[in-house]
Amino acid sequence: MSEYVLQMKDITKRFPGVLALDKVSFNLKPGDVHCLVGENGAGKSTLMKILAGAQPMDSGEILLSGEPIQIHSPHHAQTLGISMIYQEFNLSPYLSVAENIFLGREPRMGKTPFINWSKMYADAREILGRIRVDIDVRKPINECSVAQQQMVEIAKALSFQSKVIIMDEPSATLTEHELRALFDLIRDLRASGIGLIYISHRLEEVFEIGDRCTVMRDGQYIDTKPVGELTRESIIHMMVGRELKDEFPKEVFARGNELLRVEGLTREGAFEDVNFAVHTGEIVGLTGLVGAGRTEVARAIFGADRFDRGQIHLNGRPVTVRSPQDAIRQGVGLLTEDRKNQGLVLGMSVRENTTLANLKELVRGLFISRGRERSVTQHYVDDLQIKTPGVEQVAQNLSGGNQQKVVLAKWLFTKSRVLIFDEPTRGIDVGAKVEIYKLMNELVRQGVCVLMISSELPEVLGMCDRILVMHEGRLAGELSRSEATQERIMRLATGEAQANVN
Amino acid sequence: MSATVGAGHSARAFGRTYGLLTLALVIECVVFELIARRQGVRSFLSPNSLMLILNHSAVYGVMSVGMTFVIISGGIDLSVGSLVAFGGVISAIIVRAGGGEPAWLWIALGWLGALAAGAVAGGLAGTVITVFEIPPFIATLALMSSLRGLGYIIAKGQPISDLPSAYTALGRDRILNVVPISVLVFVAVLLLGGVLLNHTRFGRHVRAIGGNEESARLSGVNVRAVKWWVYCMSSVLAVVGGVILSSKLGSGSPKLGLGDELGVIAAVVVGGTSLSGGRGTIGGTFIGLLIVSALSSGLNWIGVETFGQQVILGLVILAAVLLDRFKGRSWSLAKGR
Repeated sequence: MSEYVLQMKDITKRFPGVLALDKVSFNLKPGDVHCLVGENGAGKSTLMKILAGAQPMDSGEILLSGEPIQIHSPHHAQTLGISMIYQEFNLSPYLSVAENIFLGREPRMGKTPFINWSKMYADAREILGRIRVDIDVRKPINECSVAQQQMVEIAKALSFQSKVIIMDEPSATLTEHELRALFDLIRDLRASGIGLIYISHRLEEVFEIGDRCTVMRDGQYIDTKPVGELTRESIIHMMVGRELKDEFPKEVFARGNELLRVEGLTREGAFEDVNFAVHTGEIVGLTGLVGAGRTEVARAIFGADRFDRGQIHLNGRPVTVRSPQDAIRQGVGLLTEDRKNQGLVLGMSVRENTTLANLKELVRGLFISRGRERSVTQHYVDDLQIKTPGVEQVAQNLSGGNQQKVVLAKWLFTKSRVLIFDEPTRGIDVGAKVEIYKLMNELVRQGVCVLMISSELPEVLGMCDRILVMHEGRLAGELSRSEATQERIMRLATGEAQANVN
Repeated sequence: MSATVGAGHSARAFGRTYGLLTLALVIECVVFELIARRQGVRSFLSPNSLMLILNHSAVYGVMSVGMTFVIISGGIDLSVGSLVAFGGVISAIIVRAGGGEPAWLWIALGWLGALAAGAVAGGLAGTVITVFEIPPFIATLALMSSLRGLGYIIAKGQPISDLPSAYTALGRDRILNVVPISVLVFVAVLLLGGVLLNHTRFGRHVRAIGGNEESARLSGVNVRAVKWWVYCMSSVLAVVGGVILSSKLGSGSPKLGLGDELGVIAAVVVGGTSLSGGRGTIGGTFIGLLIVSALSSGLNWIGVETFGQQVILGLVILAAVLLDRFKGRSWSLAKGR
């Protein structure tokens, strides 16, 4: 019997343009709660998806109880004894608890195709009893609470006789009380010799429940240590420890008038009492962990989603923004995180995408002036150096960086004075990133103010004049360019520290 | 110089958009001509029979322009067949109620009344779809059923006839004894539809919504208003079709237009408009319509029974959709994903 229940050796995974995992190794002992931490994009999810059979690896080796295994599919992984519980559960909402636990493996009446309901219910009750959960096994999943659904997922994992259970951010949607119950259950599972992999952004949980902790960064394995030998500081340092190179062509301008002010912005369950201001001449960063509410705040300012309370001021005047139309009329533009699904109409041409938000500028009488439309688009193609065979090229066929420039062109054509960039360089190669940064500088020089949401700390540190950090829907603090470091940002983002806001 | 380049460019663009469809139409007509000659019946490809096809297409043609907008916006409108009957019944009942004196006034009122009723029905569909966010399939299915029933109730189950003879002018008269008025209406609607789709903000917004509704919304497009107008327009045009048909027949019957929604959708889809939205042209719809009409005329010409015609129409629709999928696939393959 091997010392480890699971060994992953030299796992490598390449996505187009990115080395997502670079010879990562990971070992799990039976009866251990092994925490896996790292920044967004460090490769944790990719590594776990490979283990759960949701993605193939390019090279490497996986041993389960010392035996080399090949994982072909999520179902195959489960039958081998590896179960993953995703943040978004994999449950069928209108089927009962018992049906979900045994989905695809329903006990049958002998060799007939008919389901043996009494056995299925009894087995489901037995498994739920083992983890001391009291739910009616006939209850449809959509009537169960989130915590109950999570328990059903765990019961399902147990029904496969799992040796390894992976939990991806299990605490994200639980109340404090439910979290206690989850931790009790995890301790029980640990006692029964199951190996648990626990992914979380909340470092306090690592110290509470973890036995061992592995840190990943930029697709690489950094280190594994017993939790007792670690401190918050040492984990954060391992998570972010990298040097900034000169890939950020930051230019500092004098701060001018206040263009955007947000007061007490609140949407129940998403963000609360958010206050900040952005001035001409500056780039303000809005950062935090995924799910901290950054994108939600941006969409609320832009009128894409509603908010419950608070006031937005533009140019010193209170404004009502009920829809993107209102925001655009007031000079606000949003470059969404998801370019393909929210920023562009991929089947339309560069020309049609560039002018979509401001067609009325091009209408002469009843009709769109095609000639003016072409010349306007050509102007932006030249100005932003968009690499395209022509203005009639379909947006689908451009690279990520050039697609982002088309979205930018759209907002420039609306004469936006406040531009919100949500993860502006995600999925864009390094050269194009620098171009986007230079364009931001140019915009700021021309009197536009920029609010940049980003999870990439080097980018935030490299380009922003001020940095706002969110934690669980609230502004945890604000750092000036001179005082900001990756460690300080991470401390605010993980809720470890609170700084004075404004 | 630049004019020639422009002409060359637009000829290429025409070929890219309509080349395959036009080719299909030409092949279809030639095949019918060859079969007709072999059978020794009258020549299929005569100016007269072509005008017949156009005339025959007028009702579907007017309806298919509205349907093209609906489908490009990513929706569907199943109520248009019932609106044909409903429009005809409303217009006929108003004309008959007027007692015929002066005929032209009551006929005009009848048509206007029908159009207004169509606008109300379409506005209702648009409201249900945009405000209550009911899927267009369901909303227009409900409307299809209710309007059909309403037509029967208003007409008391019988065709409404005994109309003044001038009532049939729209459907039967020809300008200079050559071009039927209904064909002129059809061509006018087609041209207006093409201009609306290609040269106005409204048309651009319709295509943007069909291509990606969320992107359109985040670009400041008033998605609800645009969609509302799309359904309103489709209903009004279906009523125009119904008025033309009732004028051709000289009566308004609640039985008419049964299943027309499918024929119209077929013409639009054969014309290359993507059922998933975002892509499509009025010109394509026109050619698609001619392909479908020529098919039924041609099959009649060479003596294929109705049942056989339905089988062949089904196969043609299938072939058109397969072609569309194939085009979509090669489009994404070219991107190299």
